[in-house]
Amino acid sequence: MIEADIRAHAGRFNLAARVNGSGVTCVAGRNGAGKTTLLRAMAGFIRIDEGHLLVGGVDVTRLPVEKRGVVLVTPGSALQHMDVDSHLVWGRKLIGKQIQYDQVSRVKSELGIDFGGRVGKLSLGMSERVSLATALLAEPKAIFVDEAFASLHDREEFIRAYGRLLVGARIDLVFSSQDAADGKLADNVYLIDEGVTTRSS
Amino acid sequence: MNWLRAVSIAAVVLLLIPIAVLLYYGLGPFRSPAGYTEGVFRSIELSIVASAVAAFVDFALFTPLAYYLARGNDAIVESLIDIPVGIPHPIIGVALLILDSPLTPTGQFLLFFGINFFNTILGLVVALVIMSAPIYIKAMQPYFESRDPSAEEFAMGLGASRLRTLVSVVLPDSISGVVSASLVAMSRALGEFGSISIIAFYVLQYPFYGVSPASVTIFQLFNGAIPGGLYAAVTASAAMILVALPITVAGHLFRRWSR
Repeated sequence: MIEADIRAHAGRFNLAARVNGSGVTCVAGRNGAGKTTLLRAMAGFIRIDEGHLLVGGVDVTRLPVEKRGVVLVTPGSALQHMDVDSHLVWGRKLIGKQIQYDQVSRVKSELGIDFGGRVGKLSLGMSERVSLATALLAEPKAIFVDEAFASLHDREEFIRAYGRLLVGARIDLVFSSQDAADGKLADNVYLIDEGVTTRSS
Repeated sequence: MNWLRAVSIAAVVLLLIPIAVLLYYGLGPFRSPAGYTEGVFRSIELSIVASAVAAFVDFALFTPLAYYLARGNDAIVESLIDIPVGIPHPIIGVALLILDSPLTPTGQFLLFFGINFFNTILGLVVALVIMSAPIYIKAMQPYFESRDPSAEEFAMGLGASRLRTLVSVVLPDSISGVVSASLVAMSRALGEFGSISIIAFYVLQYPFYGVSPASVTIFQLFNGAIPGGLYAAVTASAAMILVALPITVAGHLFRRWSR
């Protein structure tokens, strides 16, 4: 469950956003509408002037990024120097959770990670898969995905599969999209324009 | 005709003329065997070892600071770094001397633990660290700033602290940048004279007992420590340049390669 009511200013516009919902949430808007600013504010990288953010019932508004239990995934997220398999379990290892290798291989096959090698040498779409799978395997409270689905050739199918895995692990997902039609892949849809969100039914 | 290019090349030539002249005379007309005695080479050896150690200390102690400056926004700390650079170098030598003098409480404290800067390899390295660290930081900070922060933010979201992010995410991906900055800092340390001529005119420890750093040795030769010292100083200077130049060049090549 995510409950965000955020006012912040970053660069040229003011953000006044409300996002509530559990499961998969889509924030749709055109370029420059404030999608990235909203997700970065929710992840803790932009200071919030006013408002609050609850993730899984816990108020994380004043917590530093690393204590929030939310992961922001962007196209540049992958840790370049690692190989795929150590990357996938890195986040989980970091917080001392035990690694279940059957779960790792299930996630790999569901998300189409049938390759290995150094992450820095992968294509953008492949490294996005690795980052997204790493975030999932770490089992944070929420994952915010900014543009990181964009370079996947099987985008819709991937988002559905990813959403299923996240629901199974009780992780909330918020993803940004330039296409309001992506709303059909989500449980909750918000439109954002000039930094202001409106709920779409 | 590209005038900017012409002016730039002329400016570089202007910078390099004295060095070229020195190399020519040192290795040619003024060449003197007193300029490449074993003593001179021991001096150069001491300078290289102490500068390499200083560069390593720069890496170990000041990489986190460079990263902090790159990712934070701390104008105060940033301007504090420039202080040692702006002070005449001999003053740093005097400052270290006072810090570790039997006449001051700080010195009494340090000496009680056997920490002695005066005419020791330790004092030499400490002075070289102070003089080269700002150069190291100023090389690393823009390197870190030019990195896409996405991977670091991803790691922090997964629960990594800033320091952990630096060690596990940034550094493994920054080896060429670190090597380049360390070499530039090392070549800066090799060229240091002012501070070390006060704190460590010579050192009194194994394996460099009685050896002066190269810049001090050249200064002594120039001052007429031996008859015909000028020629010896010019020759020794040329030898020093031949040693230092590859380090500077390697530092810049690494930077090129790392981009």
